[in-house]
Amino acid sequence: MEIVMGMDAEVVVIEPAGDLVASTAEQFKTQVAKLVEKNFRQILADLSKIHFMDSSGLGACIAIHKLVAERNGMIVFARPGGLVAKVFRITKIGQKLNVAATRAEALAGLHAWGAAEKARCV
Amino acid sequence: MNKISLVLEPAFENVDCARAAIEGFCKGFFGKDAAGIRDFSLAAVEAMNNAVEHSGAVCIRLELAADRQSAVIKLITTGKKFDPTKKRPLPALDGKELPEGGFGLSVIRRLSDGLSYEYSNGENVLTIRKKFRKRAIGG
Repeated sequence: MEIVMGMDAEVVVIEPAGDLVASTAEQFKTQVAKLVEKNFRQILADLSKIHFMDSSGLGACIAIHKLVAERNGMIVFARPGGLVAKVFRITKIGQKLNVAATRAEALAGLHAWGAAEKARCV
Repeated sequence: MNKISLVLEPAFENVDCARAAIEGFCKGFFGKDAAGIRDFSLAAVEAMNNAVEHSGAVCIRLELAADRQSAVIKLITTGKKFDPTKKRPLPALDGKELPEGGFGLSVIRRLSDGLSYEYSNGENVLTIRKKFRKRAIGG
């Protein structure tokens, strides 16, 4: 699995590509854990280049959602494609994670959340 | 009926290789049904992952066969007796903590068209059947 990372204002955009399966799930979790350790709290995981995901990959998504939430952050999973969307749907996990159909929608949600958090802390 | 057999040591990396073989085999028969192939290979992957993680088997044997409209995979393992066809509910999602596992068997059930299990002579035999929409070649 290859993971490309970038920034959009205060949002870290992480874009894994390839298979999110039992043999690669740990790599994805580790990468996000490093971001959380560095205090990045707004994360967009663009899943559009994940072409195959099993329940271990799903478990990784749930684990990083919990990890980010524990640190009072927010992660949005954007653009889940065919099989990823199907796994989210049949396990009903898609209803529990923050999922966005487009990157723009995910960024808007994260920026709005970040602004609300800043206002709350002032 | 066309058949292939594979034997793999129980490791997740080998599951990736087996998936490639399953998909390649099915594409030759049902290449027009890409979604069906993907669903079938995911059901097989979930079954193999369970065997790798929980069975304690020293090897996993796969027997894959296809006819005009369907494919069948038999996953044969020694190790602990375990019936994946027993109905189990999805992990509860309304608790304080979201569960990170326990979804694999539901995925297998949802993505396959037939599932059977038998245990004999110390072997677990799980059979997953999938119907496909169209044959890509021949007929």
